[in-house]
Amino acid sequence: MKPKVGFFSFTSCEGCQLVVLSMADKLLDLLGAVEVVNFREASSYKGEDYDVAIVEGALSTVHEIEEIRAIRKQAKILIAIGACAHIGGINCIRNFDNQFEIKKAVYGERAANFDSILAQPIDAVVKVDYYSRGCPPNRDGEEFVEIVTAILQGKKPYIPNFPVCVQCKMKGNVCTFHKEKPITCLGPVTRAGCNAHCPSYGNACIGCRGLVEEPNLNAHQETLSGAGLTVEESLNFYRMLNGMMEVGK
Amino acid sequence: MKTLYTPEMAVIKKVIPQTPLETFFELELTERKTLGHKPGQFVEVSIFGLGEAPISVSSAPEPDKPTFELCVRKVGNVTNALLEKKVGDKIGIRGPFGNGFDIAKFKGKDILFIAGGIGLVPLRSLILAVLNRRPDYGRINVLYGCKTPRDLLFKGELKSWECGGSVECLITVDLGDESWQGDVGVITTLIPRVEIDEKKTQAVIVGPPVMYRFVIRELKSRRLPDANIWMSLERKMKCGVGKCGHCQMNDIYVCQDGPVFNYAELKKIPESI
Amino acid sequence: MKQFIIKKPKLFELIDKLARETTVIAPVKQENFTSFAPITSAAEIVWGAPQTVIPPKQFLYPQSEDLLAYEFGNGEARITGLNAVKERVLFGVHPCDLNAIGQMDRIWAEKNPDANYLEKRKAITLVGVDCLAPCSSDAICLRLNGLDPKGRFDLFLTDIGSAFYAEAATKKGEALVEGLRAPAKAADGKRLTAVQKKRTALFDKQEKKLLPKYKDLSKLMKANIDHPVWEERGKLCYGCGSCNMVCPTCYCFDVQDYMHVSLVKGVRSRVWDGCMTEEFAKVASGENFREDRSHRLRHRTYRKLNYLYDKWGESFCTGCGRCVKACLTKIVSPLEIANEIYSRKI
Repeated sequence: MKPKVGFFSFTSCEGCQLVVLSMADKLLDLLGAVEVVNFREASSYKGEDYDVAIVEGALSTVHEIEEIRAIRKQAKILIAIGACAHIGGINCIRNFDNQFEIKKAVYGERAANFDSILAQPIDAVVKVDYYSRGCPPNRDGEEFVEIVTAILQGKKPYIPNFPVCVQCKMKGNVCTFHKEKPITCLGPVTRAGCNAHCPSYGNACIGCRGLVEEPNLNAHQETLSGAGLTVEESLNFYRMLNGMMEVGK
Repeated sequence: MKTLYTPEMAVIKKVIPQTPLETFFELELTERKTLGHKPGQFVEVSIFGLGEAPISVSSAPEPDKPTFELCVRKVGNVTNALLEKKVGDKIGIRGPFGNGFDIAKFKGKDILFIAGGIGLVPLRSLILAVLNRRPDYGRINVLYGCKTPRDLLFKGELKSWECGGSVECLITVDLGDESWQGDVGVITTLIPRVEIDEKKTQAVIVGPPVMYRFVIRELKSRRLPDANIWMSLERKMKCGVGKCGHCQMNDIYVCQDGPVFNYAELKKIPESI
Repeated sequence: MKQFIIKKPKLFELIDKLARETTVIAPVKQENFTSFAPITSAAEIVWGAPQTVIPPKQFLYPQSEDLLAYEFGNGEARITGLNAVKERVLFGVHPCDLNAIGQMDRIWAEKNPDANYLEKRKAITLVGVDCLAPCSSDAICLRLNGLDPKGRFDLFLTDIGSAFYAEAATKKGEALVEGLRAPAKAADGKRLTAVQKKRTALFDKQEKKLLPKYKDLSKLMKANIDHPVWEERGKLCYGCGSCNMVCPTCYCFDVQDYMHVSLVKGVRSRVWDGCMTEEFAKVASGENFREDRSHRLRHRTYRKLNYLYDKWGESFCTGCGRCVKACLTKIVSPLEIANEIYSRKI
């Protein structure tokens, strides 16, 4: 029997769902393997009949925390998809500012009516079984399909634990630090699996897949300062998507 | 095109669960009469769609026997899937690989087998080969240690290895239970109970990396020369044919030049133990 | 070895023709570097510096290559065939990479011949081009015995001004330039010697010095397994594997199965792996046999300068300098490590 899959969305741009929908040929294969019973905007999560919950977005309100707990209760398998769900992502930038000021800036007079809290990844609240990393998850869908296939096979999916540099070099890219106009890059500490998508298009890696298990942050600090970044600029670079790592993730 | 990496098919003939983690398999190759292995060699077991895992052969080499045996612990994707397999299922096999034990070197000697946990699996191949020609050897002792009585491998067989008293088997567990009457303690506690003749005794050790240092220290305190100590080492053996590089310790490819080493040689390999 | 003279326009015409008829792979511009890629005409070729980001090993030993394909039917796996190998010309390979390919030829053929490599190798016509100036300040080829190609090519071209001086080490190399070559005369040989002499002097002036003697490298390494250099440099290692990926003589691989989501078919592929990465020596049970970054740096360096040096009688660093460039924390240069060990006796 095909596993029943529900998609759920928390604080995010909902781009991860779009990526899944745009996996073209792979999407058809996927739809052959699973049955989708709930896709995003379907707002009700209670009593839905699903075994696998695919969750995008970070948790940033009290209400979202209640929702994710309910989803976890129902789902046999929970997949966090995208950087927001996996590491809090861009939402966590605001965690480093005064929450009261931020709320006031966004909601003005009615700030008190909103139950927003510090942004956090899904696994800060419930257990996550699988992570489909990245912002957005890798576009050719390879890794997402690997995870779904792994679930169907009953195996642990293959997710690399080496830096982006490995795949960046395999592609034969000119290192961002060695370009005519060098760009600072988080590739040396970020987990590969994206086939170095951003550096392959001339951009820096911004760490959207989270860090490797043993990142050499001292070495990276040396590299970044050698490239002219101040400590604060370096920190901000990390905080763009990896702010959560500072609170022990 | 058949290459170094093309597995042969083998049929599962027997499946016997051993412990909650380990299962015993008897296998038969479909296109060859016999595996033709030496004790201490390993095969790459292949589950299509998941990958390969290096597994020690645990049966004695018997030229006329079409089947061979493996005892597999669940530790990863391949071994987890293997443990789901049933009699009649087919899996892929490459090998045998590695040097294996040179059994001729033990002729006329006393042999002290020391196994820790799953280390008994490769050692069983050698023990059975030796027992098949019992009169060729002197005193034989088997020391076997594992975590708890639940983890004991080849439980039913251990008694038969004693050959009615001509082999002594001592077993210890790190942690006993209500029903356990035997020894409790680490494996090194058994060594003082064994007679060691520094000229004649050959010690063969297989176990987890941490065990080697302590066992060797104990054997050295009994003045056993380095050259009389043999070991089989574990490494990440991905290709089995000395190419992929994962099993290397210094300049040695464990999958080709090992996994069996003499301690006197091993001492010259700083990355070994 | 046979020597010829080939007029430049003739050679360019040949390349154009070959590019039309078969696959010719040569260095082409890639931003401020170059890369080996299929070309359509000789005009695309970058003949000297800058160097390619990754070596040409990718055409003999691809980044990812299927070892097996299989299908499931009636609950059983059936191994299906793989694609046939295509004939290709690998053009404009520099001496450091020619040496590396020569070394890889030995490695893959040794003991258990690896058909996946050897079949591709057989289908390659290898055309080298001599370097007349160092390709970058990172190059250390002269110091590590990598500038002399030692006959490891089918055809080798040196620009002697008006023409190319060509050496053919194989029948394949001779056949390639059949009809457009003239036998080399004594005067041509003299020109070649003069060009090479000038070139070698230039490399000697510009390349970083190797303090220990080349022939002592292996002994020096072996004697310094506990030198503080490993710990000091290892501390700054990312474990990013860049040095492995760009190295023409790194050949370690990982093997992964990729199952189709329908679960009816799959492939088993080998993918470049690097001994500098965290999990290279980690087994399924969790034990990591080379956990320490400094030990991994030592292992990589030893493979180049000690283990394979002793086994095959030459350094397996051919001095291309790619790792020196690629390493962002500047820890990995085999030459610098050797120099540091040599000058800081313990």
